Amino acid sequence: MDEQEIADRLAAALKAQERAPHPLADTPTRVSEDSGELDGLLVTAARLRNAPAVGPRDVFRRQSRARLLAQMPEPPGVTLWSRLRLLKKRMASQNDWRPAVVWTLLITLFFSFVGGGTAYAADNSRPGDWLYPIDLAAERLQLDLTIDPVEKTRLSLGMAGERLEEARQLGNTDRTENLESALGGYRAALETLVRHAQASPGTAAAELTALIDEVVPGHESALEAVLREAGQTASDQEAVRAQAVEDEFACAEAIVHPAGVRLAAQFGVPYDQIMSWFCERGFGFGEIMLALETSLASGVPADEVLAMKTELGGWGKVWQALGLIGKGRKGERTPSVTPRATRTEVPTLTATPTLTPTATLTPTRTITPTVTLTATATPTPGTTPSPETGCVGANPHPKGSQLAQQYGVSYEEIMGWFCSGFGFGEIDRAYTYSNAAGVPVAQIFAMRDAGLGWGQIRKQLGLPPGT
Amino acid sequence: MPSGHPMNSDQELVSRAASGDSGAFGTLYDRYLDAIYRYVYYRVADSMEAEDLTEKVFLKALTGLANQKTELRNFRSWLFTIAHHEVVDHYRRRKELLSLESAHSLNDGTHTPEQEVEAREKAAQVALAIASLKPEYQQVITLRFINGLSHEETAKIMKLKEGHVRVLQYRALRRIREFLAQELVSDG
Repeated sequence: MDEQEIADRLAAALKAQERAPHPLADTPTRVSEDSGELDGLLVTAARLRNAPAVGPRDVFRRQSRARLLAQMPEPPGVTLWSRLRLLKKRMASQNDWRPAVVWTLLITLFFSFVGGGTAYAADNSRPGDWLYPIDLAAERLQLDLTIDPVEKTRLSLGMAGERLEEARQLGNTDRTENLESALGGYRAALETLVRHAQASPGTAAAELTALIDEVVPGHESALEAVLREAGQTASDQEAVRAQAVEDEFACAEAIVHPAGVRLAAQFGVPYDQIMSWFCERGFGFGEIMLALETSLASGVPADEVLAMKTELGGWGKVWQALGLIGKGRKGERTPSVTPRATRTEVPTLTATPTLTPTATLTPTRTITPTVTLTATATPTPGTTPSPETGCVGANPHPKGSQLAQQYGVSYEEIMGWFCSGFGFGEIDRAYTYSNAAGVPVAQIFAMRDAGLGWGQIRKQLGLPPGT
Repeated sequence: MPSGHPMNSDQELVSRAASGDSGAFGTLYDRYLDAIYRYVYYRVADSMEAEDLTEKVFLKALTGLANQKTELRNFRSWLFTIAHHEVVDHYRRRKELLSLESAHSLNDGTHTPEQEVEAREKAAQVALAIASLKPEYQQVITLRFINGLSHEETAKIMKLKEGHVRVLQYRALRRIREFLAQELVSDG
């Protein structure tokens, strides 16, 4: 038997193994009684198929997702013509989307003539209505046709509000079966909002922070009503009393709180954790939901997000502090493949004398121990974010303070690294490695800047896995 | 699953993602993250490297989608092809012997600590065995048995004829069987 023939027989036996309703280990004797070698190979194949299902860490899962979505390039070109071409491309490739757009345009035209205005008939529709997909398509179109990231953020904020209003209205009717989908719609709108807020230039950070601080508290209270079994309103005295009793009983663990259950299901967080934030720390369900969303977008644990919310007051400030607002640059559209490419633009970073005096980074970043760092890094105008352009956010930044305390270095040193483009997670890891390996932290950042992965850095430093 | 519900088919999500729809790309990411990570992990035998490379794969997919001139017919195959190139580049860059670390997580979250240690050791052993093979054997073994792809799809990704894939599969299984047998002897 030649090699090809054996390979074909093995392939056939493997196919039978894949289809086998009986345990994989039994397969060889059933399909290849005459070949000892094939039997052995089938057992090896079964062993490979049963290899443990490894997966990335949850924190990587979240953070990588957030990093990637923040890199989403704008569609090529931003002229009206290119937008129309994009629309044409979509219509050509998405059969289920085309009718929605066509209907949107037709209905818009119709109401422009007959209704005498700009209102869409679909705009008042809710999940479950036949016009609802048209409403969503019209919103998407509007967002697509908007170029400015700041304006996109404003629009996304309005759209998130609409999703919430839809969810609230559903709660006032018997159509609660669509409530989960409306909540999902709000979460998706929030994700879009964060993406555009992040892509907005640093110069717009203050404006957007103020806007979010102003609008999102309304979302928080609406979410509270929706999560508490939509339909009850704060103005309804009976409902308020009923809610108070429900809260009391739930916190005494006499009953299960429906809002807690709903949140636990939406985010895959233990019910007890949700209720601990609600009962012991006094956060509302709306606030907890926004904290969980923020946690997903930023990679910072929800517990810390809630602490920041208490400290900073508004969601805009929290998002800014977490780097979720104003991280884009004016005029910047398509990001490079290597997310860290812009870091090399930082000309000189000064640090406190706690660093090893001899440490020198790449030619673009020199540690000068004799120079005292006063605020954060000392960036060259226009090359790196500064407190004015949204780099630092809250001052002092709670995470920055925590890391400074944890590693016994100055707050300014931590924020210097942050402002030069490293995330707090990376800074945390760099200091851990620095302490474990006894090398200057600057050297570790330089290795990272040179494009090495954390696994490679750890190995080069001779550190054991899990450091 | 990849092309199950028409509303969520890969093709539609790809088209939307190419037009800048982050939600669509997010769904594709959620759908394929574990498969790509698994593919990469079993080829590089290092969880941190696997995470770095997995992110690079999706980053390349993201930029690739935006620059795609023609319609992408099979996103999954394309993603695995990117992953393969990333792994090959990774080996090219490193050119050093692999060592295995144990700090990966098992993704179903149902293991007791003892079971997790046992599963981790098992994964490590398999990953080391795969990493000891030459690249084309690694690819065929990982695609066929770790990711569960058919002969046909494996052939498409490797840009080979199915007959050639079957021969590679045979040779690779023989090599890996020898490796695992040696491991057993040395352990025993």
